[in-house]
Amino acid sequence: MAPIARADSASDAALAARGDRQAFSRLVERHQRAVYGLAARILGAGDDAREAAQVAFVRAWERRASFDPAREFGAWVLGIARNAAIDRLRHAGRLEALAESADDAQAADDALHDRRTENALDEAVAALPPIYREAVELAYVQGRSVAQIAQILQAPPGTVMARLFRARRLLRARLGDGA
Amino acid sequence: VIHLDDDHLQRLAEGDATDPHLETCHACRSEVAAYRRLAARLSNLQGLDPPPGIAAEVMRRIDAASAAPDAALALLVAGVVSLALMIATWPGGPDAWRVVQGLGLLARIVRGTLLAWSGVPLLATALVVLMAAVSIRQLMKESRP
Repeated sequence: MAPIARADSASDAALAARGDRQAFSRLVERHQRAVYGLAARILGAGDDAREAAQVAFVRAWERRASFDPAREFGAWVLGIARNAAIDRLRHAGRLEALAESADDAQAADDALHDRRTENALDEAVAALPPIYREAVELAYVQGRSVAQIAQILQAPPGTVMARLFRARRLLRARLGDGA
Repeated sequence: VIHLDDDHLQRLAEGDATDPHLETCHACRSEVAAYRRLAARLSNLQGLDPPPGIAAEVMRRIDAASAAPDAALALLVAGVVSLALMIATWPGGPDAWRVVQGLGLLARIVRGTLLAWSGVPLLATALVVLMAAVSIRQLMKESRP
């Protein structure tokens, strides 16, 4: 798993919580890749993901007084971003896409079946239902632990592990035995 | 032969568990190896690059949102002051000309507030207060006998 770049977010987060805009601007610069990455993994890359990322940072600023300096800013803002992305899914009437159901998995299977490319892994991940995509993004691209992902998704660690198990099972099924 | 269940195979692949069954079962060893290959590939999955301008847009929205209370406060102050003055300088009951003046004043305040919300908060706030002051002064002059 990739290491997490935290730099000096903690001190900037403490300053931002007291209303320092410069510090908050640095936090946005530092975390925009992770925040956009998660939103894009849920919504697909594009304007929706960009808007969700922007809304997440604005919400983070508005809620800065409630930020607990003992927490990691990155995990906190990713939780807000995840909710912002789900809000957009709900607004677009796509919330059912989040549901963890056999139908989703079958639909993902069908979607993938006809489009095997040299970038098979990206395609396979993109074809997963959103709850698995976000777990894969946080675990493998952003290098977060199960405990951190549980905090971000506001779900029990056991649920996160179950989603990762299911995601890997689906990916293997789609990628073949070579995985 | 009873094989290991899939969740357990994945735990073994992640290195979170051990199981002597693997020493004797080629099929389960192959499954674990396949999950390890998948984990290695997933670790090389690339993040999605953000489009340019996200940080600038976030800070622009934050600045615009913080300007709104300034404009609202300017509107409130100007409105309260001008209303108080109109009442104070209303000597002999309703007067058509003063009603017109009052409406003009309100229109200018509303226009200033709209300007404030459209992105020039400090200038518009100052403008609202200035216009209110000018209107009030005019009303005072006209109310003198």
